[in-house]
Amino acid sequence: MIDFGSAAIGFLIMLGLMLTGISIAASLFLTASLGALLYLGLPTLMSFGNTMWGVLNDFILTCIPLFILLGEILVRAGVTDRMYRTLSDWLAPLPGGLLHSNIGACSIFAAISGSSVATAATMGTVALPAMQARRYNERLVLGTVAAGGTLGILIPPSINMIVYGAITNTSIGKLFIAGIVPGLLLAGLFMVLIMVMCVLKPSLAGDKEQLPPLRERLRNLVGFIPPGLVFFIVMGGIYLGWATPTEAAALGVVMSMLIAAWYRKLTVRMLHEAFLSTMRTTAMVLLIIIGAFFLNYVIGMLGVPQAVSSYVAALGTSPLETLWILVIFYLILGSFLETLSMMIATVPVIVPLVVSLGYDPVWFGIFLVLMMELSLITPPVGMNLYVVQGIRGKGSVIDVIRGSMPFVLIMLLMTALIIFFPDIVLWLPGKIA
Amino acid sequence: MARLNPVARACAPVAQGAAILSGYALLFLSVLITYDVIARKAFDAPSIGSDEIGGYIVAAMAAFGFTHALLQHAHTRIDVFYQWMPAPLRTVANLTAMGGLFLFAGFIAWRGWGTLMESIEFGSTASTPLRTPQWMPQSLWFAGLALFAAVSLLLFLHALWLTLRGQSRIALLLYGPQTLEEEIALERMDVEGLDDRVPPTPLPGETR
Repeated sequence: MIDFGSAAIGFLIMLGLMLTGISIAASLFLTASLGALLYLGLPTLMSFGNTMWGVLNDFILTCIPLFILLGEILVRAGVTDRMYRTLSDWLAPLPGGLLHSNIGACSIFAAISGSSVATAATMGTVALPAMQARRYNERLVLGTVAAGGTLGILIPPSINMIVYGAITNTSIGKLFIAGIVPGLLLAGLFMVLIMVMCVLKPSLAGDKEQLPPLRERLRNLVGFIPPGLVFFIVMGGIYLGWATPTEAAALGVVMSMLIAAWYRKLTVRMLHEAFLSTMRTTAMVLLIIIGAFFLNYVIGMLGVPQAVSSYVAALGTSPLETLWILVIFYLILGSFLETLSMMIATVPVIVPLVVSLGYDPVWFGIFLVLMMELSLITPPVGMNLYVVQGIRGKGSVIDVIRGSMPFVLIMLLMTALIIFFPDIVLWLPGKIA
Repeated sequence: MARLNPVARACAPVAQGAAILSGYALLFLSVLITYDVIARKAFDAPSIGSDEIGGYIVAAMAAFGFTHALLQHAHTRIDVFYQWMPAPLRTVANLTAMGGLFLFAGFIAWRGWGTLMESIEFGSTASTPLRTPQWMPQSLWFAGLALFAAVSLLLFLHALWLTLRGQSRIALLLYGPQTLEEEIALERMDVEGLDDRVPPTPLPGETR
């Protein structure tokens, strides 16, 4: 229907619209409309009402507001608060001290929240003041929060994975389960990096902590039980096949309400704040999804995926080479696009291509999440960099960028690991009944 | 937090009320689904249709939520390049962005209307045990989409009017890209007792 050149021009037009500040959802829509009007005619656009109703009415997407609400309630119940304190007590003896609690707390927060920016923003407000008082190397502190925050979309639940699953028709349950091992591995690599840096240069780490007695530390472990319980019920339900992601999310919401009531944090005001915040994020994501389905539909009619696939086939690169080209492509794209936009603008075309090269769509989903994590901390546009800088409120964003650089290298290493050992990603979901 | 403009002042209560109602609907839905899962696992009981109800709730919630997110400046846009644009270009870019969003909102409301009319004309019902007439959830859904289109048009016209009267700075202030502070305030989940949670152990010379 359409040749590679015209498709590429269309892609550039879409990027152009996005970069002039037109909202992402509208950019997707305008590009798709342009393509439809030029090649297909107005009637193609008319049937979109039914598609849109079908998309919004889909039980799978019901899990987006539920997972967001789950996180909003748990955080407001003070769950993260207790966890951060306990984590600090246990991780402080490691070389690098409280820097590890930042990574640990981000990982656990990631297991509650599906957003990386929210993870960095929330953990940053907690961590930065505490670390300044203790004379830690400031750049490294900023780096741990910015990079640790990116784990939010890798460790399930993850809004970005839900969107990926919805657009590419990939099992969201499998994507979630597939994120667990790489998420823990990446958090572990971050911590190894901190340890190595702090052993080589002890001045990076701040003052030593005075640890509370062992009995108190053991008693504080109780704080892990509520979020742990929610995580195991939600992920366990999905893993064992007892519940779909949407059902698991609903169970999680009910449990988080019980936990909030147990901690005596359940008030009408707290609930309403959680609702307003949930609706804002949900509506933002769903509007982009509508635009994405619209684009997806037009792109499919125009035969863009086929045009791109045959173009790439004609290049004669091996699947592995193509993948590395994609890494570079996403690094460039991610340096100026925000994560969801970057994924939605490329997935309808790239996923069919990658699948035709023999890669698993679940594996590619995790690969893409890693690329999005990288985009969050690579300049000039890396949302987490600016969020952390905004919380810090002094100095220049250059410090955050420098502090994040070592973690960027670790993420690239992680990308290489999953490329050469795909089982890191595929082993656990392969065990789902 | 949200910069108040006349349109937002008039429309925000509606959007907020709908958002809070949607929140309660979500809680209700969670309980329904939980019941369904337990009943299915433990007693092999038939579903009460929570999946279908869930779809309707989310469709209506999203439609009204679009306006709420719009008034809160929450619809994602890439605005880093604004700081490098000269002021007149910034005004044009912002107006284009608002016009573009209205085109999208207007289109989905228009097509939503088409779907609703079709359902009424053919008396469509859901292919589920509940056999819900589709016009019922779709009317609510369309009302939300129509509100979104109307509000995005009003905001666009207000910004245009301000610009034509030579008050483009105010238009940018009200409708331009979010500042970083606003964005962080939106992303940060407010946690009670934020200040007394750390440090875990008192520092030397610190009373706590």
